[in-house]
Amino acid sequence: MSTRFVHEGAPVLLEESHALPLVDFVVALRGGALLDPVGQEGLTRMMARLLRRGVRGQPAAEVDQALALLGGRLSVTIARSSIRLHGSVLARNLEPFVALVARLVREPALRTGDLARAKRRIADELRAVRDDDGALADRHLRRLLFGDHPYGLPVGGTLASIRAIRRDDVVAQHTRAVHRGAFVFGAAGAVTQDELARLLSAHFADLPTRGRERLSVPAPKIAKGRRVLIVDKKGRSQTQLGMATLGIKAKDPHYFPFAVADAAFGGMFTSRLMQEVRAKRGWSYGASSQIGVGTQREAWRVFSHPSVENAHACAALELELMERYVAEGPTVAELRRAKRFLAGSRCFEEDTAAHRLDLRLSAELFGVGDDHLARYRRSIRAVTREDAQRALQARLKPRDLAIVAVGAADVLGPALGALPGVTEVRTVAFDAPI
Amino acid sequence: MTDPTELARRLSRSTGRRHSKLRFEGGAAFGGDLEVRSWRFGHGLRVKTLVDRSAPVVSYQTWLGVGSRHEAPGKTGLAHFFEHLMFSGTERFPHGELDRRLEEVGAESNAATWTDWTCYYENLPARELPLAITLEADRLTHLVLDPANVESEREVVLSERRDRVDDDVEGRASEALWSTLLGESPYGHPTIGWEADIRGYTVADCRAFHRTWYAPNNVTIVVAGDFEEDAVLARLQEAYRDLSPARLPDGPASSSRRPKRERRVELALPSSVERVLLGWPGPAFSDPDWVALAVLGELLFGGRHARIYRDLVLDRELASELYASIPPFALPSIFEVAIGARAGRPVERALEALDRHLERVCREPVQGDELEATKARLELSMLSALESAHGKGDQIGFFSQIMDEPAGSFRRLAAYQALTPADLLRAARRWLAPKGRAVVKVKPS
Repeated sequence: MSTRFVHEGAPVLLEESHALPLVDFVVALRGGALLDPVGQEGLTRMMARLLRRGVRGQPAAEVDQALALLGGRLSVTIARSSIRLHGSVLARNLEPFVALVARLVREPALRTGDLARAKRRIADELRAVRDDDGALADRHLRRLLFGDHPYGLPVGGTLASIRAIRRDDVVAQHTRAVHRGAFVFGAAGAVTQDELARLLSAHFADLPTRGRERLSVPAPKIAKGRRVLIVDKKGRSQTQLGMATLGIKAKDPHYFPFAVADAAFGGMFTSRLMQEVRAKRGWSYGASSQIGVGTQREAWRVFSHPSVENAHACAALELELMERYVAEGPTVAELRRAKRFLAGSRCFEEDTAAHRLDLRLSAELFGVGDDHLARYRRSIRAVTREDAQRALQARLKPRDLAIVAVGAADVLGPALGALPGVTEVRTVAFDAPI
Repeated sequence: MTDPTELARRLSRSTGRRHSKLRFEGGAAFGGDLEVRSWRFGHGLRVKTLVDRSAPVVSYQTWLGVGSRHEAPGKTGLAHFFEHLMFSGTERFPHGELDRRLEEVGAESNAATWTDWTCYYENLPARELPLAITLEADRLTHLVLDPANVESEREVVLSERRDRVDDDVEGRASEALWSTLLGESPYGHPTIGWEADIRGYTVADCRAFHRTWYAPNNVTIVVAGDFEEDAVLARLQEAYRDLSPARLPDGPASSSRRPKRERRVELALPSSVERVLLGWPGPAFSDPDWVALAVLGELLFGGRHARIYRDLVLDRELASELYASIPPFALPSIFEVAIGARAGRPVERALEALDRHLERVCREPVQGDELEATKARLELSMLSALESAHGKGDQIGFFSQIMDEPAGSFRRLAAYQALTPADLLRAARRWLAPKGRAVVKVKPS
């Protein structure tokens, strides 16, 4: 059963289900990494991580032990426009769990020692990205595409920006991020509306008041032409190959036609990209395209991982496929299949209470509303071939692309530099700061 | 729902074929009001049904009792390779048609191969279940092996191997650990196979593999979700009617010999930090000690509250990554621990600290509420895995395959809850002594 009510002005979304004695409890805050001041990228994420590190009078170890004893799990995720504390707990322990989460959000200790420890840990994580070729490619790809625009800056910050964060910054960021107008609550599972309302009144009463901050993100502009960046890693037999250009935004009138067109191109196993790259040629285990969603136009990305020998041929094929696709659009059969796939598979995003809550929270945080969810299938089914082609031509410019390849530069540089329309080829070491 | 014994009788009466007769083999409670039922057709094909109307979806899973441990020397990876070939097509549904048909109805489908089993699944909107039955029965019965397709899939699998092993530091190190510890045992080679073996498969190898292992008496079908049991069993009876049972080879035996000394391997790989992987011989999933070691692994390594994780990762900052796992295998295998050192710190320091913890675990029982907290976390994990129809089907299929007990996940949870500190101490002393372990150290190249 889906319900919605308000607690101290904050929306509360509930998906009640008593199938299992479990409850998911989510505290979301509007405003994520976009709240980071210039030069302090990663500050919001740092603040959110430190929420897990205990409250005044209760150090992190005790909090962790308390969570474990309750049969609870708590994760913190930071997006560009929201923070989510997502908890799961055995239903019999819901009240002490909510009480603990409330204290973590409202009275975090934000200790200097924990900050120093978190900085060292994040530095380690950033170094570890160098060992993960896929993650490394994606990080460089965003940076190459968006440059200094907020969408190009890493949510977790850089080694330099993390180093610059002081405790006062974290405390100020907590005050800025945690206030009445920012909260959205969610729960899914074995809890009733009355019980949830009572728990929120008991533990989230008198939320601090502050004017709601309107985060304005400028529309991103990208460079003309095809720019190639080789992230040099010797001894790789495989290339992590990523291509990106501007896609769509959450409230884009072309949203549904674009989503259908993307699925037909690279969003399914039988999509054109997968068929050409994997099924026909066996060049890469995976080949896919992905839509990013933000309040402004986010990235549309294509990934594959061919062998070093096949990297040039694979990249050339992908460019050709993209150009032809934007010019001609999907075939009737591709369009039909993509529409049926998206409308049909929607049931797997709605099959559990936790999944339904997740959809509703995302809609709430992106400001597209429950109406977007209700008309999802109808909107997908209504897309025509002309709509899809119009959306592709209005939004995708395959001539303006960021291309990143992780692998041996001595082979990849000349190979990818010879691709049509390339205006620039640069090489960076895999362990260069980013 | 219809009385199951009566239903089986009715369906058996409706056919003259011995292979299509249906037997009801029993039901078992599956948490709350749900019941998983076991059935078997005359040719040996087993079916597990779980009707759950909480969402209009259904999961259809086909489990085969063949995995990488059944492979012959020189043909490693063939079970996984064959999983790819199962998408080759049939005369009725040519190559690519299976995926197209499934995606057109919004189905999620995929397959997985591990050491003991291979599984194909389709999660579908409830009304589309007949499509999955038709497609799965058709490819099990009428698969066409086209040499061109074998060649193309060989390249795909080589790409998968490069991605997961050759260009992946942890993949390379893990492969070295398993082959060092488990050697010639059925689990000593990687499920994806050695590269040279992948390059050498012939079409005849693939045909022989299919003939040997893809027989109805080696298959368990799991149907979980929103469906009519009578109609689905009738449909299965019809769809799988043309199959004939095969004589299944005996599975390979495991070696009961345990190594007497520690073995060390050192690798130079493109890693930014030093790493160590450790492996001890571990018990089979059915062994009561598996339960104790799984709980011990969670208690010591399973996150922020866990004793060794807290000390090495959070407090002393000797490691940035630390995990332990004990794979749920039918035969004795491995208890594995992986450490990634903090940048600039030698991994030996983390290893020394780890060894001191393990000595203590072998010396004195766990105290306080560590064990209770671990049990609560395991209860949460197990319940979380049962939220979706796919999750339920997965648990039923796995426990049927390994333990012949479709509702086994609940008994396993009860076994976790019953453990005492003395049980953990006994298991630690039996399995975690340093002398029989293998150690793979990765130095940045």
